[in-house]
Amino acid sequence: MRHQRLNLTVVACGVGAVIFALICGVSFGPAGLRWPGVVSNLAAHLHVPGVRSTLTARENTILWQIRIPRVILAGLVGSVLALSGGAYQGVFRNPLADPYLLGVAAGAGLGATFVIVYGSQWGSTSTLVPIAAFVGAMAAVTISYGVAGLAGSRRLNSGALLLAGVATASFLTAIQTFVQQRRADTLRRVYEWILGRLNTVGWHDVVIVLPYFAIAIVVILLHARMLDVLAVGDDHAEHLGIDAVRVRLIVVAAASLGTAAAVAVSGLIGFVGLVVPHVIRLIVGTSYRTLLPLCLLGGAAFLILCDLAARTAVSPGELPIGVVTAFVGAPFFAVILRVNRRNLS
Amino acid sequence: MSTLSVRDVSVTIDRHLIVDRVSFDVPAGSWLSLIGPNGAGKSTILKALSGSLPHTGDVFIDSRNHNQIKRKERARLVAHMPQRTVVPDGMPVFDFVCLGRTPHMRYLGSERSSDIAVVRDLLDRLDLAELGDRLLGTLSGGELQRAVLAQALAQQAPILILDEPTAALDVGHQWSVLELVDKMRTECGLTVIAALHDLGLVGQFSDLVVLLNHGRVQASGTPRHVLTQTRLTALYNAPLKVDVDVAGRVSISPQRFTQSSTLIHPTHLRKHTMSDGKTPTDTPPELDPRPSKMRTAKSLILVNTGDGKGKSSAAFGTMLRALARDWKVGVIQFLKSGDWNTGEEKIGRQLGVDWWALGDGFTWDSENLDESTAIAQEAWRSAKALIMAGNHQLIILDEITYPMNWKWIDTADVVATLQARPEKVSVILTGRDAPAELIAIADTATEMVKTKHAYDNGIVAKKGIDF
Repeated sequence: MRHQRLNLTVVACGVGAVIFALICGVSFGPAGLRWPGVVSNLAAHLHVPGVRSTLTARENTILWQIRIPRVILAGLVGSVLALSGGAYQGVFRNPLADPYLLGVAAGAGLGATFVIVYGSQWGSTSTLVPIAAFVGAMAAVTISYGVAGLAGSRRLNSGALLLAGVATASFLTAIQTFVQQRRADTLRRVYEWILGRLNTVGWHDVVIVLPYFAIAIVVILLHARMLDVLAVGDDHAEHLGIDAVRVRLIVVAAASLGTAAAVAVSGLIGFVGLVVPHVIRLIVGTSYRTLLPLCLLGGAAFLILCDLAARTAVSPGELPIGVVTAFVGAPFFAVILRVNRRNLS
Repeated sequence: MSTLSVRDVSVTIDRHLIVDRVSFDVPAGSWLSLIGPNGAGKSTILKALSGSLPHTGDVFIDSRNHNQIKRKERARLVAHMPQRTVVPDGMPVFDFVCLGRTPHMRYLGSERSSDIAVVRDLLDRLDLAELGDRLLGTLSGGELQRAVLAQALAQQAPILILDEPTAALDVGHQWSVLELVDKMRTECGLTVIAALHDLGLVGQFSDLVVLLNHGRVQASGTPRHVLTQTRLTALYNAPLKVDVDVAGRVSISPQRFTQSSTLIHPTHLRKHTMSDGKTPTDTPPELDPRPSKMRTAKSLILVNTGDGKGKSSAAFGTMLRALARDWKVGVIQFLKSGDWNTGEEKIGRQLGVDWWALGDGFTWDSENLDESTAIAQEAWRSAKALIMAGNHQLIILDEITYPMNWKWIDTADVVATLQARPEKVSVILTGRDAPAELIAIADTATEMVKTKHAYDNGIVAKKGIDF
């Protein structure tokens, strides 16, 4: 009988996928950097003996100030969205849960819309939008919890929270739509933000989100075993000495923090938090101690490659990354379901 | 080993009182079964015991109030195998059983080698070693139940609560799961509290039984004391046969009666219309198509049973009514000794009742069982002759259920005689634990329930009241 939670082959595949995605993401793009040049530049930076960068100084700047931070951010956002999605699916014992379940998307959308529509008099909207989105997202989760709590603290179970999340999201979306309709001239900017984008970033955004991501990743990974305990139901978790309501609160808070930070810098990128944990679950099973670390790797690789597609598919233009994740993710998901039909039945 | 004491525990859910002032004690190392019909409150009280449901009243674990024990420590003292578990289909059996170690681990810790050793040992003991890598969703019902039990046992708690551990299992698996629990109880000194539906299993495995109905304790004590035929037949409204073996183990089985002792209420049978002397057993019973229609009967069979006082007294009260109608009355006492000078016999004889006190006294005074058996059989032969002679309109067979239950006289013979009796002879039979066949053919059956008895408070039987 084995007792090895993380299969080394699967981990190696995950790490390999991330490295592959990183190399592809860094090597290709619309700025005309030739990939042999990029590879030689990276190798030179890594002090590989006998290799010298063939890129010009301008190309070097594009690579290090635009492309690499963008790829790194895509990887981080992908990781956190996938990890948060897995965590949400765990605490809600619901495979259809995603990180936007408790209103993160709607709250962030409302915050961003407010700033885009009314914020020009307060200062630079590009600085204010991420802050407003973050605040809106966290406020939405807090409201969802508060609404669910109206049913009584003992009933702060997954079902009540889920319904509260749906109600809160609908309510906030309604307000956002109302605000948006009042100022039709800003519709395009709001719409662009909602579809998600990674195209305006530099190292600045990476640095800003890193602490939030670190907290979310550490807290969620430490709670992986607790999510396995919650899988047997709240009542039975209580029999095992675990306060299910508290565990759920901690994990939801961490996942929401990570997701809110991700949304603040990249807009609403859908599908990653749903499809990546699913695919990994189909490959390695449902144990969260295996699933969550692999979500980090899978989410990173997936979003880096989707971003690459977004940058290059209609070059020199750019597709919203949310469109790409859904466009690529949905059929991929269907194929995986088909391949695993026997396991699922 | 740990003891568990439950004191006046009540549980209210959505303003409905589900469990009402329930009290019982479970001595260390014993097995207590909770029984009762669906909705009696069994699962609810088990949840209260494991601390997952708010309640009033007190639960003591080794004289510590469990409300004052922290959740995690409580999980080290009480393991709860719920009736319905959320089963994560994609989780391997090994990982699932490992979750049982949670109360022994730090909040964010993971299993140490000692935890793994406990789990491996349990999987071996429960024949699950081969299934460690299998996903829960691929297990059969019996395998899954063993995995759930293994998880509860992995908690290594001295008190094990089982809520319907054998539901949805076939007979073989029911048996093996409970044998396993019993083995673990003996080996590890577990105190077991189990809600069980299968009364047969209750009789075989329990040291103590608590019978719940409508959230209240209706009876508690040893299986032999609680699992009586009249009580169970009345409670479950089903014909149940109770047998006690020499070791005191109780076996219970449903028994469907046919022809001579049919479950169909006897007033629905046209049995006294036969004039050729044939007993109804010779011809199949004929159903009355209009059972709700009221009619008169030429005679009746009455059974007075139960553990309360008043079975014989009620019979003798009826005797007075019969005498007032100038009926000829016969009384045969199967147990009370002829030496006892009872009030009923004295007045009965004065009023012209034919009285036979044939028993040789209470059997626990008896020194020679063979002799007692012979006397009881002789008494029954006399009674049978008296009934079939048809000279008496009322015959009272007092305390006849005891020799029937001890198999000294043949219940089937009693039933057949009563069914074949002359049409004007009414019979009253008294005694505890009336056999189900007897209740089935009775027109009226009454169970006297003991709420209180002076004797229990040390007051001896009083002349003029008790005899």
